[in-house]
Amino acid sequence: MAETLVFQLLNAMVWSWVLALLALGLTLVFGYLDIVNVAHGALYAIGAAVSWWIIQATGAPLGGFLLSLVVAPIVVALIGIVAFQTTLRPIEKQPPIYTLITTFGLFFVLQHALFLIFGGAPRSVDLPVATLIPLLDRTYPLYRILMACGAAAIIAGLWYVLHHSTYGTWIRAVQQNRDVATAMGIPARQVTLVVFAAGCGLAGLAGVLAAPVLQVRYDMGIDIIIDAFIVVIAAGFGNILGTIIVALIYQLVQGVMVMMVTPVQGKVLALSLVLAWVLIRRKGLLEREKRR
Amino acid sequence: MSKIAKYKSTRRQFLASAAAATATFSSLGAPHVLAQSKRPIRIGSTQDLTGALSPDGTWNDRAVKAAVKKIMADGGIDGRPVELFVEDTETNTQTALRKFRSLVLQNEVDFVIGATHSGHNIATAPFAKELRTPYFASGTALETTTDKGNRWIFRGVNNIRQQMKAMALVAMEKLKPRYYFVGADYAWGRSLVKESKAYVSERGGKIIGETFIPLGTQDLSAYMNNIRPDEFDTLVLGMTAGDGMRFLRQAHDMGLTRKVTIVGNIAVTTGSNVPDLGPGADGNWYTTMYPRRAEYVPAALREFDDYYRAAIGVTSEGTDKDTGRAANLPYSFVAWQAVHMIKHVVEKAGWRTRDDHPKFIQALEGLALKASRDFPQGDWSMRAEDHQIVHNQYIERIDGDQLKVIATVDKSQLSYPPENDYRKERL
Repeated sequence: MAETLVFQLLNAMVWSWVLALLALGLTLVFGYLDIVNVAHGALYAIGAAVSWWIIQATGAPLGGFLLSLVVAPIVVALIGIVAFQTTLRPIEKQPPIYTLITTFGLFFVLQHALFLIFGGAPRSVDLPVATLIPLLDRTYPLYRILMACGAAAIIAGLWYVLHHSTYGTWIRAVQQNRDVATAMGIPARQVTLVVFAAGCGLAGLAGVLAAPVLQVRYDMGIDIIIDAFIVVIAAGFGNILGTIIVALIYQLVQGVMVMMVTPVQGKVLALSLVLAWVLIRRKGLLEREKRR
Repeated sequence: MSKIAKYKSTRRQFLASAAAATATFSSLGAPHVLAQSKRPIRIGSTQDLTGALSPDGTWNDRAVKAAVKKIMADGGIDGRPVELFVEDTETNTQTALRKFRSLVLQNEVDFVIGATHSGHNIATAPFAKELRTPYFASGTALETTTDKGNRWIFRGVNNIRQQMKAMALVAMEKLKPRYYFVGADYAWGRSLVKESKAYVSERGGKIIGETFIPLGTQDLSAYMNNIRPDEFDTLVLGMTAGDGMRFLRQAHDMGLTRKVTIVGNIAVTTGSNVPDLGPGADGNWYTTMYPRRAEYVPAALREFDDYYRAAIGVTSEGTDKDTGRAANLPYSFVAWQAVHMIKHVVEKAGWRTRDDHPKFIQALEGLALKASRDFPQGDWSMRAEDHQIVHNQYIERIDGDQLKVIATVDKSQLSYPPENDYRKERL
């Protein structure tokens, strides 16, 4: 029992960082641009698929994986830039519901484009690091720990950029008052584009990190994006620290619950807790809408 | 004279009346019958062309189209051309129902070939009855031909009970007797576990435990931590492609697959080349309806198999000849054979219009046909009571980068007492 508990806690902590990374892209784009990016899940899947292609092309699980950590987010960010300029820029001054509907359409376009190119069957990605760590009387994949560390490092880097760099100051200035920021000489149009591209790039990065654990499939974004939205809503859009904490709690609850009840009951309980949290704290979309 | 004249007059009148009657009849009923008999036979096909089961749907679609092409090249069905109407269900049951109704009511199709998705099959069954349209199910959940079926639905593939019985027969003979069961938490996964457990218990196997995992769960390790591989020898896996592959990947990463043999349903491998299944798949056993590699097809069926593979563009290795991706032979043959079943039964029953559907259904009930180019899977029989086909089943094992047949289970071992007798329903 104690061993199982240790493993569940470890798992929850590991997976929560990947979930937080994915959720962070969502919260960044909404928190700073007021865009609810439903296409985030499709961008995550594209990141994973690009990773698969690179690893296949190079024939080196580790080398290909490291290369894809650089290339995949760039590819996904470029897709995000094209999508932003062609579909979101024309409606950027409209209420968020417009962007929600637009990105919903984008989700289908991107997902089905990936389906046409990648096919419907899942593909396996070898673990870049196949080492198993002995832990109690079991083993645990080293890659999972490295994956969590990687996600945590990316999140920390993003936080640093947002709070300790000139560009981060510009981003926050545009978020607070775009007109004043523009008057101060901040290139607001460029900043919004960069933030959107960064959010998309984060989705692509999460896809690369998750691919060796989850396998790659064109519709892999559907299920995980639901968890990401749950985390973001419970944490409050734009709240980086809250996103990390909620992702951790959400995973911990599910992990511990399955020791006592069936997996489905565990999922129901975890979702019920999140729902109760949202109802009690009201730190979600609604409160931000009121402030505006 | 007058009598003769009268007689002649009467005869003329008779002939005139007869001609008029013929003309009148011709202008009313006869052209209708004539037109109906010349009208193409319309076959509808609802397939999961997009969405989660698209690897199944795209191959089913290819098989249906190839079968219609072949039949047209051979002169049609009973000399009549075939018109095919294809609809995409988007792997969504509500869409599947809407498309089924549209095919019947707007396109006026005579028969419908359904998808591999059991949810679609079960949901469509009452509508097939209501709209009086024979429906050919391709999914394998047991309920389709038990309490959820009716006289208007036929299944041309062994159901999950028959498939897992085949697996249990071979596994209990060749593997150690302690079993653990993992299933996706929905009808098909639960059905697979239930049927497997029944046959394993019946043959003296020991059931160690079971776990059902919600569909679409990404990180499965939380559930795997509750599974102790030192307590059992064989893990029965009731998951399909996406979930199943994630399980195999993560089970391997967590060290689970090194200690136990995983057995399951071929649905895990659908559309995937063996290397794509990952290291967790090596040594797995799968129950299947159709060997992936032609070299494992029984000699008596080789000619038919060669023809079928060529018709749908599949190599002897079981891959798409254009892309090199794995074909979905275990399910696509069901669609191919369904089109040919329609042909054979229409011709046997003398079916001409939708009014003849009762004759069609009665002719298919209890029908048994031999292997041929039309039925490359082998001999089969359609049980009259529950409209469930019975055919041979294979057990394949993954060795390196190949799926190898390690056992063939004869159809005589896969029958079971029918739970329903649809013949009691009036047509």
